Amino acid sequence: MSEIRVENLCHVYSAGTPFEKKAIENINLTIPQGQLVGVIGHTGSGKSTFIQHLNALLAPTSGKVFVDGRDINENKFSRRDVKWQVGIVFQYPEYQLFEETVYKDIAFGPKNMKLDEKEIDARVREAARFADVDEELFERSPLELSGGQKRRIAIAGVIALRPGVLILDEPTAGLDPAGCRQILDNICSYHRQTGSTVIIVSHNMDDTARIAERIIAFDHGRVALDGTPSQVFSEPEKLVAMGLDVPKATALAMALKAGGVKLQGSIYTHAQLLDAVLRAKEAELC
Amino acid sequence: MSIISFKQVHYTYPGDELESLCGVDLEIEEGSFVAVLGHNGSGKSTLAKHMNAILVPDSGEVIIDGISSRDEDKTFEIRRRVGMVFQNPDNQLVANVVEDDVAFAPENLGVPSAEIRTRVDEALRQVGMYEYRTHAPHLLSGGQKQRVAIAGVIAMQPKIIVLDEPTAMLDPQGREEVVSTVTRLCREKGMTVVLITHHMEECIGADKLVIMSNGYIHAVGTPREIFSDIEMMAREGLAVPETTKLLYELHNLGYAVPLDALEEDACAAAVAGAVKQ
Amino acid sequence: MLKDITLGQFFPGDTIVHRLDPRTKLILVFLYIVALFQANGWVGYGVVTAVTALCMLLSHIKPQNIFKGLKPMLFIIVLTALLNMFYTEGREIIPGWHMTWEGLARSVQMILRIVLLITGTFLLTYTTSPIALTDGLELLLNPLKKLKVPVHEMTIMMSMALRFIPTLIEETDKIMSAQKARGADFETGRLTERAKALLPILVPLFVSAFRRADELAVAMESRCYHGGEGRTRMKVLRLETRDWIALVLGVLFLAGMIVLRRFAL
Repeated sequence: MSEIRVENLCHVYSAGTPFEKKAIENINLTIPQGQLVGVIGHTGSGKSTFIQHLNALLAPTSGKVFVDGRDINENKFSRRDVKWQVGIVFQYPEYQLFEETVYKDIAFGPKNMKLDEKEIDARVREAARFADVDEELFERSPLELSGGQKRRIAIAGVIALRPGVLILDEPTAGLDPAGCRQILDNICSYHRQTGSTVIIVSHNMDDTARIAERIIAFDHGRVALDGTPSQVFSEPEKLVAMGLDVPKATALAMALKAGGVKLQGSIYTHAQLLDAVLRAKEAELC
Repeated sequence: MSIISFKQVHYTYPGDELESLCGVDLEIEEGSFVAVLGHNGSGKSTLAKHMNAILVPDSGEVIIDGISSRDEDKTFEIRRRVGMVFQNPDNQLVANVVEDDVAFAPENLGVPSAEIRTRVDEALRQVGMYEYRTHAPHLLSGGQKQRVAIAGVIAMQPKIIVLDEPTAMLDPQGREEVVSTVTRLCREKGMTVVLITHHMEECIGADKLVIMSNGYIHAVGTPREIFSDIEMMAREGLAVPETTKLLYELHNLGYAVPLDALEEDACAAAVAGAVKQ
Repeated sequence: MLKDITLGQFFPGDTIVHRLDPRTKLILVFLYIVALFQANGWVGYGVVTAVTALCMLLSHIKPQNIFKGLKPMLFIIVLTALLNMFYTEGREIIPGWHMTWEGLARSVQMILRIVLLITGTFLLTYTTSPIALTDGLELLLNPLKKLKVPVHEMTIMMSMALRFIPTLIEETDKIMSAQKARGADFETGRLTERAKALLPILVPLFVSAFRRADELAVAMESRCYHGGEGRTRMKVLRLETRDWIALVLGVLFLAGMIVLRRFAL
C-alpha cells in the first residue's frame, strides 16, 4: 500500500536572497494506491519541484507530505525509507549510469538497500524484464549501448527498488516515436502487473491523454486542473490559456467545431474524434 | 537550381560494419525549406554532417554551392556557406555572453570589428533575442538557447542553414519558437533551410519532405504527397498528422473527402462538407 | 543547492572602474599587490587602505559584497592573526601570557594585508566580465607568442571553462539527485566510504563532460574555428586617455609606497 497525501505544500527556492522564487504554493492532494497519474504543466510551472518532494529529495518550506500516513520529513530515517517506497526516474536518466556492467548498474539501488545477493539478483532480473532490457546485455558496458537501451536500463535501476510509487519525469524526452512507444508500453504493463502507483510528468499531451487515469495540471506553482482526462480535456481552451498543448485530436476537434462541424463530448483520442464525426453525420441525417 | 546535391553517396563510420548512408541521391533547391524525417539510426544525422564537410563520403560526391566537399582546401568555403545547428543547445554555445557567442563565427572568419557588431545585432534581431544580448546563455530557456545558436550561424551570413534535430531536447513552446524562426528565415530572407527531425508536425510547412530509413532515402515529395500515403508511413512506423489520419479513415468509410488537406482549416472545411452532404 | 553558487562574480555596472580597459585593470592590480607588500608601517597601510576605499567608492561595490567574498578566507585570516599574536617577541600585554603588544600590532597589519589583497583582486573580478578578463590577458601575454607559448589556446580554454562551469554544476546537481533517489548516501560513513560514494557522481560527470567536449569541438569547427590565426574581435580593446591616466596614477602610487618603505613609515 502506498498512498500519497500532500497537505498545504509550499516550496521557495533561495529563500531570503534577492533570487527568492516561489516554486509551488499551497498544494493539497491525495493520490491513492494504484493510480496512473499524468502531471502536466509548462516548463517552470512547478511540476518538477513537486515530484521531488514526494521522496524527500526536497524538503518543504512549509506543509507536509505523507506516504502511507507517515510524515516523510519526520526524521532522517523516514527521509531515507521513503526513497525505497517512492522511486523517481529523472529526465534523461541515462546520464546517471556509471557501473562497468548493465547488471551492476541495475543492482546499485538494491545494493544500497543492503539486500542479500539472491534477493538482489531476483530484483535485477525482474526489473530488467519490466523495462525490456535483454539479459544478454547484462555483462555489457552501459556506455556502449544505444540511447533507448540506456534509458530503459536507467528505468530498470529504479524499478529494482520495487517502489510502491514510480515517478517518471519526461521518460520519453528526446526519443524517436518508436522509442517513445516502447517505453510507454513498458510503463503501462508495469503498472498493470504490479498494481503500483505510477506518476508520469510529460509535455506530450497525446501520450498523457492515452494512458493516464487522472491528470493534474500545474500552472504558476498551483494545481490548476485535476480530474480524469475526459474532464480535463473537456475545456481545451483553459489548457491553451495556460500555454499548454492539447492532444492532437482535441486540437483538430476544436478546428472542426470552428469550421461548423457539430461535435459532441470530450475528445482527446483519435478514436473519439472519428466517432464524434460519424455521430455528427448521423445527427445531420435525422 | 540545386544548392546542395548528393550523388550516390556512401558512408560507413570507422569501425562500423553497416553502412550509414547507402547510395544517397538528393537535390536541395536554393531558397527551399526541406525537412528530413526518420527514426534514430536512419542516417539522417549522417546526411546532415555531409552538408558542411564534417563528414566526407567514402564514395560518391556532395556538391555544396558548386564546391565538392572532397576539396579539402575549400572546407572553410563550404562551412561559411552552410550554418549548422545541433541538438544540444548547451554544447554549441561557446561564450559567457549571448552577443559574444554570436560574434564567434564572424570573428573566426576575420570580419572587421565594426561589421561584426552590425552582423551580430542584425542576427539577434532576426531570431528575436536582441533584448537578451548581454545575458549569460546558461540562464536562458532551451528554445532561447537554440535561437541564439541560430543567430550564431546566421551571423556568418550563410546561404544554407542545416539543423540537426534542433528540437529534440525542447519543450513544446521551445519547439514552436525554433520552427517558426527558421520558417521565417526561409520565407523572408530566402535562406535555404534543411531541418532534420523526428517530429512530423514540424515538417508540415516544408516545401519538400525526405523520408529516410536504414541509410536510404525512402521517399521524397511535398508533405501533402508523403503524408497522404498513409500505408507507406505506417510501414515505416512513422506518425502522420491528425488531419490526414482522419481524412484517410473517412475516405475508407466511403466519404468523399480529399486525402491531402493537411492544414487544420482545410481539413475542417472538407469534413464539414462531407458531414453536411 | 549547488546552483545557487555564483562563480566568476561579475557585477555589471557603468562606473569609471567598469569602463577601464581590462589590460589597464590587470596591470593596476599587479602594481597594487606590489605596492601593498611595500607597506611596513602604519602610514603605509593607511595609504593603501585609503586608496582601496577610494576605488571601492568609484566602482560602486558595496562593502558587504567584499565581506561575503572574505567569508571563506576567515579561517586563514584568524589563524594568521593568532600565530602572529602569540609568536612575536616583545612586551607582554598580560604578564604571564604569550601575547605581546608587538604581536598585536603585527597581527592587525597581517589581517589588513590579507583583506586588502583579497579586496584588490575582488575589485578586478567584480568590475570586469570574465570574457573581458581573458581577452585582456591574451593581449597582455601576446608578446609570449614569439616564444611559442600558446597564448590564444590558453585563453580560449580559460573562457570555455568559465562558460561551462555553471552547466557542469547544474549537471552535478541532477546526477546527485538521481543517485540519491537510488539510495546513494553521500553524507554518512567513514572517509573512505564517502570517497567511494562519489564514484556514482564522478563517472557520469566525466562521461558527459567528454561527450560535451566532443560535440562542442564539432560545433566550433562548423563555425569555422581554426585557431587564433586571422581571427578578429567584435570588441576591440583600445587604451583611452582614462586608461593612461589610471596607469600613471598606479605607477605614482607604487613609487610613493616605495618611498614610504624607505622611511619605514
